[in-house]
Order: sequence, then C-alpha cells, then structure tokens
Amino acid sequence: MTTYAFAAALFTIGIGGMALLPNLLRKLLAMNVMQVAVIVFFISLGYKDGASVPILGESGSPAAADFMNPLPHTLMLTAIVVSVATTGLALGLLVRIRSRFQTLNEARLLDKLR
Amino acid sequence: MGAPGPSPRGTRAARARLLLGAAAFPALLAGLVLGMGQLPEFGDPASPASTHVSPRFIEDAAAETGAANMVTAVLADYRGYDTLGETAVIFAAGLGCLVILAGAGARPDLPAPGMSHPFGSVILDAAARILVPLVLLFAVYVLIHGHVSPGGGFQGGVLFGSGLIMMRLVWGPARASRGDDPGVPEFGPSLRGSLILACAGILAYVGIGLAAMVFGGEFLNYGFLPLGGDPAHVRELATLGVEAAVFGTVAGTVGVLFDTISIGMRENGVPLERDAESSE
Repeated sequence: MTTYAFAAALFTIGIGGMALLPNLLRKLLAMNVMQVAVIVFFISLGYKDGASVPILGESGSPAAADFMNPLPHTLMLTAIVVSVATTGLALGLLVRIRSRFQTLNEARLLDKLR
Repeated sequence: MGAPGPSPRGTRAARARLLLGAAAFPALLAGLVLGMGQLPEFGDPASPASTHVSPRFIEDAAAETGAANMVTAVLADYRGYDTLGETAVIFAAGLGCLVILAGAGARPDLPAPGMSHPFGSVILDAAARILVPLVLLFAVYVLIHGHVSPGGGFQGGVLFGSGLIMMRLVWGPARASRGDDPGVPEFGPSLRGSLILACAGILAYVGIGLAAMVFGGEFLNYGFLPLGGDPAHVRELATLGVEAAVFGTVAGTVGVLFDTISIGMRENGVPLERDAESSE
C-alpha cells in the first residue's frame, strides 16, 4: 500500500510540475518524475510476498509462487530506455526553441508566438 | 525558481493558474489514493497481474527458451514484437534529434561532436583512460550475460552509451581534432559511426525476424532458425542475437543523441551557462 501511495504522490508531483512550472526544461524534468511514478507502480504490481527475483537458479521445475512476475520488469525495462531516448529528443527540441526565441519561459514564448 | 518577476502576460493569470493547481492536484492525489482501495494488496501472490500469463512465463520460460533470466526470455522471445517496437521508438528518437538539430542529409560535413571545450584536466584524463575501457567492457558483459543474470541489450546498450558520453565529456571532439592537438586521444566513434551502429542494430533485429519467416516460421519465431541443436538452444542463440541488435541500437542512439545535442547547442548559440533569461 505504501508503494502505491508513493507512486501516486510522485505522479501528482510530476503532472503538477508539468502543468504549473513556467520553464519548459522544468516541465520536461517533471515529466520524467511522472514516468518514474508509473515505473514504480508497475514494478510494485509485480511484487509477490515470499518470491525471489525472476531468475532461475538450480531448481529443475520452477513453481510460479517462488518467482516474481517477470512481465512488469520487462515492460519497465524498455520503458526506462524509451524515456531516456524521448528525453533526449525533447532536449533537442528545447535547444531549437531556445535558439529561435531566446527563452524557454512558457509565458514569454506564448507572447512571442502571437 | 526565485521571484517570478514581471511576466508579460500579467501576474494575475499566473496567480490564477497557481490557485487552480493548488486545488486540482491535491484532488488528483486524493482520487488516486482512494482508487488504491480497489487494487490488490501489495505483494499478493493471487493478484490478477500474477495469475494469468505470468505463471506460464515462470514455469515454462527456461525449458522453452533456454534463458534462466525470465525477463530476458519475455523481452526478446515471448514479447519480441513489443521489443522490436520499443527499439524502433528509441531509434526514431535518435533520428528525430538528428533531423531537428543537425539538419540530416543537408550537411554532409557535420562539425565534430563533443563539448565546445573538453574538461580535460590531467586527473580526468588519467581516470577516463582507465574507466572508459572498463565501462565499455562491462557493457558487453552485461549484454552477454543477459540470459543468466540481470542484464541484456537495453542495459548493456545504455552502459555502452554512457561510456561514449564519458569519452566525449573528458576528451572533447575526439576524431576531428586528430593532428590538431596531440594531447587529445584519438579515440571514440564519430557521430556517423554512432548512427551506423544504431541502424545496424535495428536492421539486424528485423533481419532475424525475417530469417525466421524465410525458414518457414512466423516473423520473430526463432525456433525455425537452422542453427542446429534442440529448439531451446536455437531460441537461446537467437535471443542473444536480438539482444545484441538492441544493444547496438541503444548504444548508437545514446551516442547520436549526445552528439547532436552538443553540436546543436554550439551551432544554435545556446549557452551552457545559466543565464538570467532562461533560468526563470
């Protein structure tokens, strides 16, 4: 339950930061916080009491109760790397915006776009 | 954030937005926490997430795919399509950054990647000479041992990419300065090299999938590949091939992202220092 609450708090911080912070770079960092919240949530769904990490040891026939759910781990493994790549792409966009408008402040940008 | 200062759009709109946020986001948090009551207990082995497809993965993955690490088995074999898509997304992000910042194709003579001036102290140089080869080697270890320990193409690729970034940070524009400054080691791939690595990775992934079709199976059904041995062993080898393809794409893309952003920041005159305008 605590991890779910932790993920919910992180998610709120992230989405709140995306909406409220004035600077686009800060919005991007807030989006990363939100992605981390989703990752924490998925990983905590895969947790099982009394289970081990999903890597087979010496035992011949694995029982489902002995190992954690590997599916959320797999999904989040790719999600982390995708988030790295998309953050890089967003940083590229920010460089372009900064060079064209000399600012990353949302209000100033909207003023210049009008 | 400091004092907001006079915003061109007036402070009233900004204050209204803050008030709205102050009301809306606690409400969102309350809703999320309330909704948690519907979720299964944390760690419950009988939760829906752990009862449908997950037991099949846990019980049969090792026998079917030959991978002791079930995450690798699910990633590269059972969910091969999904991983191909994720790899394509990463590749597309690298290409997008290249198009946005470096004007892909229009400029064959791209400037040297790297920081505008290398950090380059003697200590950093000596440390990086020892650390970079170890980081790169460890990345390959993580890739190859993805079957039996935590690791695989994504993790190894990111590690490899971080080694590339360390080279760039410490040694600056690596290849291009060859001959200009004998103090700069001639080491590290060019932007073009990173791009070729990324392209080769995604092509190899698709190629393995198509090869399975050529030999009579479905796309990405590795069991049909004529590698000899029992099916589980064939799948294990193909999984390693797929992981290596992912490794190339991720490592190359990380290199492309860093190089294009560093080039773009210099070309577009974006200062590295925090200036008053952009720090608001």
